[in-house]
Amino acid sequence: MINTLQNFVKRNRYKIAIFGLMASASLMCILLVAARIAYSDSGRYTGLVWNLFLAWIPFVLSYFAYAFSWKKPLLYFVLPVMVFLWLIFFPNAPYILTDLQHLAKESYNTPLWYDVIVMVWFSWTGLLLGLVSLYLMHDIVQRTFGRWVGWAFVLFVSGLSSFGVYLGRFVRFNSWDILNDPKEIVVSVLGLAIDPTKRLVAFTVLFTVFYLFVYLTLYSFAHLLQEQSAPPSKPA
Amino acid sequence: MKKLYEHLQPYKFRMTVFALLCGATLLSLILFRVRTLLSGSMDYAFLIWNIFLAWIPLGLAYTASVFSWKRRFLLFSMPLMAILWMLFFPNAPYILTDLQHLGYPKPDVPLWFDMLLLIWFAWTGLLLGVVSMFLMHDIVRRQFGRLAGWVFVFSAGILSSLGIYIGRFLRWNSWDMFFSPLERLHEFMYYASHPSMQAIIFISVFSTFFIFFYVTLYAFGLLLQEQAPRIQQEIKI
Repeated sequence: MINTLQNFVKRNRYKIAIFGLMASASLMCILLVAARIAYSDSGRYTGLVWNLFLAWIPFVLSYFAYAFSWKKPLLYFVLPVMVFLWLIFFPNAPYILTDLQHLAKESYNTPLWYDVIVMVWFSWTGLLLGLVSLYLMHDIVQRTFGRWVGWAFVLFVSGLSSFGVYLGRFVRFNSWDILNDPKEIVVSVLGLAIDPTKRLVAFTVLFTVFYLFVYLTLYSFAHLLQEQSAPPSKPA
Repeated sequence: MKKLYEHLQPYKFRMTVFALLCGATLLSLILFRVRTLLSGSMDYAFLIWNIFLAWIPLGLAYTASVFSWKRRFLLFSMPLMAILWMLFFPNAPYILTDLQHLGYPKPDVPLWFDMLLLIWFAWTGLLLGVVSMFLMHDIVRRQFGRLAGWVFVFSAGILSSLGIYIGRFLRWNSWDMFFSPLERLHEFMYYASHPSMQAIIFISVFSTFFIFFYVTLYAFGLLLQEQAPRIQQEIKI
């Protein structure tokens, strides 16, 4: 028993490490907001904690999906539901980036630089939660359907999630609206998609490209680590 | 052609990262250009200068890492390189603090556009910093071992937050150390012996952030390695 557990931890130690890192980063974010409340007596930025919680949902879902993905029958039956749920909640993670715009509302009780640091902590934690969960899903898709499908999946998800961020930020939809009242949501989203405004197009495109850039950079950076750990055959 | 490919193959990901960072910088510049066309104002022009400064430590780290395979070179010019790198390194994460310009909204462009513009610049700067930090970390790790490598990362993280603080609040530049080093050192000793609450909080929260970010990306890289053997194992079964 202990042996299996040991094996499990050893085999998944970096996944566990990332989980721990993200948990402590979230804790740090909450502490920073608590310090802000204690200092200024205003409840601003408590909404961020809720948004961070929402960003954790796709992260946890992807860990589950990943654990299930090694069992063949589960892969085919449970996974599509998981992926769908994940896709609905996924935009919450990059959404936190757009909370940076709250900096524009002046606050007189705390210095601006402190608010900048708080926002930086929150938005980067949210984005990293999203990137790691996207990577886990990417890995599942790649293993099951091959390399090209994997990258098509990443492209598709980044586009869709940027649209989701737009819907959350400007149309004020929530993830669970689609579970509560799917028909109305589908109709209004189709309406937006058929007749997009300039703002929608510009925002979605810029956000998608940004997201892809960060994902690709992290992905190649991770491989650079592998490249580096073995010294080059002939010294340059 | 094939030979060239074989020669470049081991550096594939290094070149990809470089190309991606170039592309991101280019896109940031294009966004800035669009902003000037939309608004007719030159607000945020300082970002261009700042992103240029953020490239300097990456260039230095890259040069250092290329030469680090030659032993003789390593011992003589490396300390010099490391000092130069440390002087310029804070410029990369410094761009993050430019986000505070969102606190003074400009009327001619919608807020969400400025937000995206600043996010692009800030992330590009931060990633430039992370990559250059990794190159230096790798040199130190190879020479002095794992522990020394992490000690280096932690001290560089803290020093760079100090540097950002100095840049943001005292408004010094990296090259002040060349033009008036004695004067600066003198002033610095004064501030260091009378630290303000602002300085302590800023430096501790910012260095935690940078170190956290770096460690997470590092762990993410190792997570990718973790995958590979498992997949091979699956295929065998």
